[in-house]
Amino acid sequence: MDIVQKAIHNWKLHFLALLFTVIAELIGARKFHVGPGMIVLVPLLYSFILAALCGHPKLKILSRDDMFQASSLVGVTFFLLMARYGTLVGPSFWKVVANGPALILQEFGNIGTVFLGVPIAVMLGLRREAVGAGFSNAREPNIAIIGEKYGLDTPEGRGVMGVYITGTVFGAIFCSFLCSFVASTMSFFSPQALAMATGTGSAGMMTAALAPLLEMYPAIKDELIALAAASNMFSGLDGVYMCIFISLPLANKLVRVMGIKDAPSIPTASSDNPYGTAGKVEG
Amino acid sequence: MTCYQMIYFLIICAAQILIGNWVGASKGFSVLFTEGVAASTTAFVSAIPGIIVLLGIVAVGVIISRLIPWKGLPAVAYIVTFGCIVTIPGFPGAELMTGYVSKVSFIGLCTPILAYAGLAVGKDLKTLKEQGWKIVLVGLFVFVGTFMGSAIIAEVVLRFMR
Repeated sequence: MDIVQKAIHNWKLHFLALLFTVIAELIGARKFHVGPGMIVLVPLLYSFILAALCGHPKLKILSRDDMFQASSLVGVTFFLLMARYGTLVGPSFWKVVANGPALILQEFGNIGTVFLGVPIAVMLGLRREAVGAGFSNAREPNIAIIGEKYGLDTPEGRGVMGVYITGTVFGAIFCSFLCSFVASTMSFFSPQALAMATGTGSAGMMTAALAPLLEMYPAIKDELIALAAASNMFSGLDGVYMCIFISLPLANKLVRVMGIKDAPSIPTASSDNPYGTAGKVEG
Repeated sequence: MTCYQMIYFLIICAAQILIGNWVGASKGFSVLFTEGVAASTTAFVSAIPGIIVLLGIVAVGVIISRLIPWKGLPAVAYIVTFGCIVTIPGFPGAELMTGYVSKVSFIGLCTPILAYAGLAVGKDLKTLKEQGWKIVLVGLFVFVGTFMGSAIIAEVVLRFMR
């Protein structure tokens, strides 16, 4: 029996997901004032945290097999979410088109990733890892780029995989807090601009970051969702080219300027299939 | 994943979403206690056409992605594009479909999805420990950089356009 077959018949997983969904929805969205900012907690964060706590080895609720089985299902759960996203972009389609220039240009924001990520990585003592870790927010297409160019069993590969896993573990929660904080403390930004910024190529992170915005601006909810979903879609398309032609060369240059002169890694035969290797880590 | 497995699991997901939607968006429990069984059943049933429309969009998206020989885009790209096209005002039946799916709360939809993601996350913690705290810290700064970089450009461009 393959892992998916085991997973879909693993009723413990479905029951736990349902239980946490019901608990999370019962708690509902809550707003907290913290200093100058506001933190908005939304049900999807509770269900994520409750489910993650379940994985604590001492509780003996989930085995490693259960976790790998759950992971094999995560991809398909996003299908329904993406369908809903599509139906949110559709009705605001012309508004999204009118915002096209902003949506496309904000992809250049990835350069911000390089200028913040690479210097910090080098200061923390990383070497070629800094290129893989700092050139993008390390979602699946970015892993593929690094895998193809340098291989994944290399310093660059470890860098990108490290950030990728950081994203899957902390990404949703962190981006949610970040967006809450920025939206409530920096009045320079319009909610529309922040909504566009939440779309970075990961549906999970986008949703978690967007949710507090929607709680803060319920009147323009549909517009914000449409902009975020469209921006996320653009990240998946032009974001990849942006990474190959701009941010990756820039990260390489920046690392050299900061004094790391190690030669770039060359992929070995074992890592010439980036998706295969990424899939292994993903389970 | 075979078609049968996908359909089987999507139906489980759809059921969880309906229940979550009933508890959260339509305040099912409080309706049940204040307005009775009939009102709360209506609230539950009203979201069913919407979830069927979403399942249909997923089905078409998956079928297109399997039929197209070029495998450059994942199935979700076709799903989101198809969902967008059928709800653009002017598309036959767009208003009807938008009306149906609007009964399925978008934020509520994510609650069971993130629950599955949470159930799976434990397996990554060990790898994360091996990678060390430095890379985690870099990762968090990377997310700040991406978000702020995009927000600044979007804001500036939007101001120019107005």
